[in-house]
Amino acid sequence: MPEAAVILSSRSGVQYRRIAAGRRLSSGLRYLVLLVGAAVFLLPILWALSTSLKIPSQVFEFPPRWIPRPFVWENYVLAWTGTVPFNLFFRNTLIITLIPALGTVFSCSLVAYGFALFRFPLRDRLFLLVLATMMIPFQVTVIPTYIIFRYLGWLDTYKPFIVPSLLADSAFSIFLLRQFFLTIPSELRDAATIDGAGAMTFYWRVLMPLSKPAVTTVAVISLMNRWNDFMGPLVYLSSIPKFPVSLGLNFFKTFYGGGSGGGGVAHLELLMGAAVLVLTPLVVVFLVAQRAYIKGVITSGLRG
Amino acid sequence: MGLLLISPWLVGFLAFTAGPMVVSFLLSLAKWDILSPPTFVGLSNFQQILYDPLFSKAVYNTLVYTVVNVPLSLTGSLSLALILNRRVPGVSVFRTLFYLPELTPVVAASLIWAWILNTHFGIVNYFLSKLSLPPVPWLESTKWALASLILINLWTVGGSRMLIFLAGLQGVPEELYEAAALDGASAWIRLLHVTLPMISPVIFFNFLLGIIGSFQVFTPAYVITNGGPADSTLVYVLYVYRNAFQYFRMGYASAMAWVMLLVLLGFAWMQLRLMQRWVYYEGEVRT
Repeated sequence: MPEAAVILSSRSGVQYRRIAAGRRLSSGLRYLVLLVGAAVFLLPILWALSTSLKIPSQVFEFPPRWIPRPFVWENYVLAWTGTVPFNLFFRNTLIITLIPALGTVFSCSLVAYGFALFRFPLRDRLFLLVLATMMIPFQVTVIPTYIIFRYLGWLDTYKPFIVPSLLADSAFSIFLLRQFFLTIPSELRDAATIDGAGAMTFYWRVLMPLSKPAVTTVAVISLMNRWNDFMGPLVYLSSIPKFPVSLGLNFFKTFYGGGSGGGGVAHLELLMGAAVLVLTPLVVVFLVAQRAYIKGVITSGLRG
Repeated sequence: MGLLLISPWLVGFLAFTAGPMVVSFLLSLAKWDILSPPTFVGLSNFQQILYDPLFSKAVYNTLVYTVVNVPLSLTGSLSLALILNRRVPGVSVFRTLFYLPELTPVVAASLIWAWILNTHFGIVNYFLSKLSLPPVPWLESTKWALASLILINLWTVGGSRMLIFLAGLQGVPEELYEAAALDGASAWIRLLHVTLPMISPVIFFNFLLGIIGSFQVFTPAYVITNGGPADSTLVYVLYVYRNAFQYFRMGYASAMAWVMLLVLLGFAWMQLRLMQRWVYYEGEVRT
């Protein structure tokens, strides 16, 4: 770019100073954009929080009041134990997120171990098949799996969530763990074999402890995806006392009114309180396991 | 030993992926309401799809959703990532803030947004009234409902897409920018000719995620608008869901699911071909 070079070489000190000033201006501008962006991203959640702490008569005040007065913390108690008992939904969610997340970590790590450190016929083709299953949307298999679960009498139980997780149902987890296992030096395995460690001892005593970062990533991502899952519970569960929080929230909406479009009635403060309750554990997990989680997002893309 | 270790996956694959795929394919050739035994009808389900006005409506809505959503979320999250990629004080705080919506479960996000976009009491219309603009019936009019769903999606996925871009941007070697700057390239030129080509794999990745996600959108359409008003937010998966689990037309729904799978696979294949043409991977030799 000869022209550019000429321009560059002809710059005087004044021009440089002007460029520096421009930089400062643009960094100020950048900050402004960031602040506005952050406000837009944060506002809905803050507004939900504000609504959840209001007395009912203030919820529909117009113009809206940002800071509730008084702060009605009892709303959360009501949402937690009221007519629609959210604590029950939480307990259910813990069952169908924690157990399957553990199942996924356990089964997928075994499978990844097999793919990473052993030789067997068709291994690479089978691994390609694992990757290919990532392309198949849940919506394609949900109808026949529903039929299978129905046939097995598993509908309206937690088996559709727990059993597949024990059978390595997460291709992404297998992939991520395998990649990590491949980086573990083979000398370690040789050393372990010489010391008389069998394949399972090596897996349990050496491989898993060494792979903590990858294992954490898989566990956290699996946990969050299951916590968020809506369509699965919607299809497999039908009785309200078995609902997890995602379905529970939707039921909450029909029960306490408001929600879609219209004027909205009744207890939006409780609804928003429930929404905040559902969100909070995820934020806590995120803050605790931020690094592992972000790594997972970058490799998997998570949500569509 | 290896085979033994992967056997859980093999069983799971046969029982919950391959098996269901076969069943789904067979079902797509049948009529079945779950209660009475299925009857074989050949390709008539696929034929029926062609003449189903609701099906074309669902396809149309999903296409509009995708075509508007994907470019907006790509440019939006890339811009944020570009800003955050500079050394700005408090970057990690901002990153967390932008990420908060992604953590919000879709149902919770849907309910919160339904409240925010409420025509009479929602804060969005309150802000509009501050600018002396008339209230917009966000979720109640056929004109705005789909746009509202797109807005909600942009809010939810923006943060994670941005993180992916950020990871890509941090992999661009500093020397390239220095060299370009020495050659007198302006910030805009550097963006166009250094940054974008260097992160093209990441752009491609985000693009694919966006397409797949848009094709599969379901929860907000189900929770907030339930397809309405007047089917203006009847998206593809919602229509599949209704056919399968509300009308119990299992065969018809399976046929639609297969159409979706084929479209997605065709799309992925096309993308892979295109990718070879315009995505740059480091160390790759162009011919």
